[in-house]
Amino acid sequence: MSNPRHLFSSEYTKGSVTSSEEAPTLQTGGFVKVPILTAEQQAANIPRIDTTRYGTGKPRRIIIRGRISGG
Amino acid sequence: VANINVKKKRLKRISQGDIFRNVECIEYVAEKRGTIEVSKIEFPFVVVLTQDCDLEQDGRYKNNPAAKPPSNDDKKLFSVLVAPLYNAEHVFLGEHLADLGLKMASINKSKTEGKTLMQNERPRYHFLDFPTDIPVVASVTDFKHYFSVSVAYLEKIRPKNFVCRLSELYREDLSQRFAAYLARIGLPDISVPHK
Repeated sequence: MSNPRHLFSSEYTKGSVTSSEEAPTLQTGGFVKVPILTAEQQAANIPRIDTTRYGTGKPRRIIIRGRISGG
Repeated sequence: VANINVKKKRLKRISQGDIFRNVECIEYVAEKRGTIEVSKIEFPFVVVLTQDCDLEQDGRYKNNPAAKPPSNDDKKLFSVLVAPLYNAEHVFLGEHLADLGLKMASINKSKTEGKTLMQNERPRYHFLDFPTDIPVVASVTDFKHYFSVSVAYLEKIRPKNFVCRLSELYREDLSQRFAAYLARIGLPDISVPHK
């Protein structure tokens, strides 16, 4: 029987990952720079997301597909 | 303003009130004609809800310092119950699950619905505002979204993904409110006639 650890490595199907997986910069738990709110936005009382601390990320779905090799 | 105390140092075992980041929930694993598909949701933060005495006994069962192995496997746990923590600002906007394609109800934090949530008077939610030295924004636990992860998986990611753990009393507060939420009894709406 093949080693399950190799299940997704060599046979990994490219392009089968959801778009959320490919989000370019936002990384959960990371620090990100965001534009400073304009005076108009602040006046509109738009909730400010604190990006200087952890917790700015949202749950995301990740789909992985791979071919079973060996037997 | 912080409404909880936390400890930064983790125990030698998983503990109730532990907060971990980047925890995966397996939605499904499917196999079709030799291709296997795994769908999982990665939650930025979760808090452990499993009873601490169970976790303590499981930890002792696995990490018994004595050479003598346990006489049986009675204390073994297979999974740990956790609930996600969502960024409170995202919750108020109803956008905390936007990346999953879900639109949740918005909650006006300046009105009663938001104020009662932040005072932990809404059974479904638990509001956690962390001390300033903890790098986690104010968060909301949604008890409705609890799920389980395998003990082995959580043990594996624990050294790297541990954030902090709720101090006593705050941990018990969370646990008691979750238990009360889970034990609620849904009553039928008797004003609506049955068909």
